[in-house]
Amino acid sequence: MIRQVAMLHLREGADGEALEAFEAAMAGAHEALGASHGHLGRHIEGSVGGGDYTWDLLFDEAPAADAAALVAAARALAPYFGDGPQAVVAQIDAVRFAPQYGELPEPGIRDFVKRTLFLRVEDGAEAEALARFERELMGMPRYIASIRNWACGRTDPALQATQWTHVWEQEYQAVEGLTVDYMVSPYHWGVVDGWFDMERPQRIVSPVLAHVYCPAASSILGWTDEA
Amino acid sequence: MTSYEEGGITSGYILDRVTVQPGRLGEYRERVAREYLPLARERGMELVGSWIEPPLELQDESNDLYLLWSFPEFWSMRRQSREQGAAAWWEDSAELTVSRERLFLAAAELEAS
Repeated sequence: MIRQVAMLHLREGADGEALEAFEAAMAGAHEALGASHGHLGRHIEGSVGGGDYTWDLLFDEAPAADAAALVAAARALAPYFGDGPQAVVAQIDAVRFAPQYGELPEPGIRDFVKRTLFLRVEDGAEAEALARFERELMGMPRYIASIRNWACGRTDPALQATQWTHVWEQEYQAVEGLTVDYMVSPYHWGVVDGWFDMERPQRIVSPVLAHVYCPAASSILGWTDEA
Repeated sequence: MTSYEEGGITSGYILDRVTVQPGRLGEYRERVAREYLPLARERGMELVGSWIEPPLELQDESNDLYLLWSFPEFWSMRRQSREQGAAAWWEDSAELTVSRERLFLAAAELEAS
């Protein structure tokens, strides 16, 4: 199984009927792309650095084409990407990876919020620091009860070229689980944030991040268990 | 200050331990006071105290300088730190130091049972 997580950046001024047509075309589009599951989620205000939509896909096997080429080859989707008169999406920022770490204690979660963080560990980070960062990042669900389901993994640039090295995803029942519980946890600011904080000598994560969240009806992180 | 036992809090303390180059302690303390301290105060940090270890300035060896700060709200402090470019101060002053670490602390009262 291969997951693709893409952040879609809209063209300036794209709105109204053009977006409705785009969203309608994207609904169910995963089958035409050879994916077993798909979800498009419009970002909630407060998202930073990741454009306007999160687009999740699950493939049984790695697609031969990269994310942009895959879309360009799909007749129903291609007009909405690029420069044509119907185009609404200016940029696809995609990563691919085989599922790695995660827990799914609430597979039946409904009408919730999915948060995705793309991050880049700086070149030259020491292996020991990287391992500790990953361990502490994945320790967050032990201390933050509002994280219902989660997944974490390294991106695979052989499957999709990207600047990002890691994807950190969580599913919350309500948005406050992210905007309040996640943010006020001392485990977040007192332990994990040190890897991100430019003032701390232990920092290994680039300050350029894509932090986004969107509504979803049923678990996206649970797809890999269903497949 | 809320204690760590209450769960969700965003106030606490920062302990900076800076190993200063031999012979540069006075210069480093002066730069902290003149350059870093005003910016830190702007973003809500207060200097609780500062100490050297060992408890006298060594002549040919490094001292550690400890700076204990309090802060009322972490994310506000963190955002303003980014806006101020505070990280650049640590880089600029790195020529005066050997190494440093920054620890985050929460109040933990001692209670006899």
